[in-house]
Amino acid sequence: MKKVLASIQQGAVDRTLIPALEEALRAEYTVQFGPSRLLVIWCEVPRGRAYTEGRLSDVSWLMVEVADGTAQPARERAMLAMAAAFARVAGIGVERMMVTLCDSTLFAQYLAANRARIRPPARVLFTLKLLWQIVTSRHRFGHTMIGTDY
Amino acid sequence: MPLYNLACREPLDEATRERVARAVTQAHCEVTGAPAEFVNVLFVHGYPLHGALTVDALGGVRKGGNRTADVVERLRLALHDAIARSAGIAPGQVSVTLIGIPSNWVMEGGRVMPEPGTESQWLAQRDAGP
Repeated sequence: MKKVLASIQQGAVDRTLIPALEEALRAEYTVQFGPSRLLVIWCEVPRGRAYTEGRLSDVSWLMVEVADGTAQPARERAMLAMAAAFARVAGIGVERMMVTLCDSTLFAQYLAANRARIRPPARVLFTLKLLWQIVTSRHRFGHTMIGTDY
Repeated sequence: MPLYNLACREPLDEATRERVARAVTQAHCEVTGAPAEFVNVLFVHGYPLHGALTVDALGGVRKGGNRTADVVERLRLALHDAIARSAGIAPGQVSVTLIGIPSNWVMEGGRVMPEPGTESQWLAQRDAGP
C-alpha cells in the first residue's frame, strides 16, 4: 500500500475540505499511476509550529510514495498534477505547496528515521498512540488524521 | 525543501520556536547558499527522545549538485550548533540527522526544484513568469 503524508497549516487550508482534497489526490494518483491502494495520512499543523523563511508558514506539504525507479517524466507530471488538484480544491495557489514524490525505499527510510528518534522502550506506546489516532480519526471523520504531538 | 522536523521532548515556547526557526534557516542558507524561502521548519512536541536529548532534528534536504559529503557534514554541524545556541541548551542535548532527497523529486512554487547550486537561475526563471 502506498502512502501520502499530507500536512496542512491550521488556518491556511480549511480542514473541512480534507475529504474533497483526499478524493482529488486519490483520483489524480490513479490517473498518473493506475489503480493503487493508497493510505492518505493527514496532519493539521497547529498555528505557530511551522515556519518558512523564518516566518510563520502557510505552506501545505505533501509527501507521496511512488514505486522505486519511477521514471522522471512520470514523476514530474504527477507532482504538477497532484499539486494542481490539491490547490484547486483548497483554493490556494500552487506556490503555497511543497510536493515530494518519493521512491518507496527512501519513503520508508524517512519513516524509519522518524521512529528511530524515539527511545526503544517508548516505541510500543508511541506506535499504539499513533494507531489509536488513525482508528479514531477514521471513525470520527472518515479520513486518517494524526497530531503533531505525542 | 529543506523540511526540518524538530522533535522536542518538551514544548518550546513561541519565542524559542521563532529563534530556533530563524537560526536553522540562517545556518542552512550560510552553508548551502540556498535561498531562505526554501527553508521549512516544523516543531513537534512530546517525543520520548533518547538519553539526554531535548531536540532531535530530522531534515529532508536536496542532494546532488554542489552538495558534497563535506558540505552535508558542515551543514549538519552548523544546524547542531544553531539549534543548541538558539534554544539555550547544551550541544549534547541536540541531535541532527539529514536525509538527502533528489532535487527533481520535489516541487515548490509550481516548479521542480533546482539542482543544489543552481538556485539563482531557477529563481530568475520563476520570477520572469510562465
